[in-house]
Amino acid sequence: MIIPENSALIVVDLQDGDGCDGIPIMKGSKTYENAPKIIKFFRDRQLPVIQIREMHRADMSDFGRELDGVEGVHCLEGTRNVEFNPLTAPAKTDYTIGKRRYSAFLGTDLDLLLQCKGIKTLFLIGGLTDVCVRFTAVDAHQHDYHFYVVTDCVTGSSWKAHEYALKNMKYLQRESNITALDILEGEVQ
Amino acid sequence: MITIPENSALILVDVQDSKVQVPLYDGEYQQKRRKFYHDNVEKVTRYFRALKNIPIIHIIELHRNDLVDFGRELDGSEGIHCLEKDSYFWEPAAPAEGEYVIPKRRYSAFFGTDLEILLRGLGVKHLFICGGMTDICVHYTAVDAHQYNYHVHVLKEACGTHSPEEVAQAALDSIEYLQTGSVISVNDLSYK
Repeated sequence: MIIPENSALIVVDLQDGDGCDGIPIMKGSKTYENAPKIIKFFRDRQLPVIQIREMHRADMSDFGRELDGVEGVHCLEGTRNVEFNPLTAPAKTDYTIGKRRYSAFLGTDLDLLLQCKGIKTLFLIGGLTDVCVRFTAVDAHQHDYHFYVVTDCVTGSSWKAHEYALKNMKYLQRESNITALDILEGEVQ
Repeated sequence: MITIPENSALILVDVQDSKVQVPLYDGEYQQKRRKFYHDNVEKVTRYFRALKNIPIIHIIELHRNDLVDFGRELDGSEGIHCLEKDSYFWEPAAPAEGEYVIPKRRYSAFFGTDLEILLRGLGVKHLFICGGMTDICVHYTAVDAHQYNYHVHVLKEACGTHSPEEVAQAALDSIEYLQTGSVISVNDLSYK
């Protein structure tokens, strides 16, 4: 595929953890197999890599309504769960943004950063497909960005929720569902 | 049965009509679904109006006639829709005196609107949501409400879409993932 030169890679919530954070995760995702390759592809071509991570204050003051559903307490500051995963950890040239909500646009400077960099096209990888990735995609779309989601580099809360979220993103933008190979065999123009 | 907390509002999302025919709703199956959903919206609106002390907020999607504000909305499944010159509230649930009206340009009723300013002014903490489409504007409005710390209550029979049933159900499941018990039935409304 053609990767426009005004593109950025958004890495959503690929965080470290002790495996007991309060979030359900589908089994068998290829995210960590593909993410390092995709991140390298963007870095090698000097396209911005923006690493998002979810973090909540240790006194739990900023959870809002996030504990009213399926998710338990998660991503507390001061625990390993807020650190970036070593497999995909930010390089010096990557940008990092902490967030308190699902959407990487809500209460963050992501839109400002993208505008300053002249970015118009976003490639999304990470998790969860049906929560933070999807709601970041929806906000990107509502903010007039073109977006692509790398279907074999995102992980959902369940396979079913993952599939429906991808379908939902396709409803918003016809060509939005791509694969890791589309990028790795792609060309920047 | 559900009791409506005092600090609640009813939000009707895009319960609207168009002067131009929308082919998406063609056919007996879609017409039947639309009628079922509309009947329930009417029921819900009547219920909340009878409570007298709960604000009712009508959201309507409107795009400028020169198409300038569509953003990326035409890159997906939707064609040109909800032009200002063609759009109006669906009459049986249209805003009555004392009810609030908020037009929007995007899916979420929070995006680029004064909905949050209004809700803060009214001291609202609980949003009862109905309207369309279940899997798009209702879904994303509920998600934003949740992210802005509101309790959400989605009246499932009073939500409609032309998308397949399982897609609508996946959207309701997604809202339920965020807040357990948030998807409720019109039959849960208690008549005192």
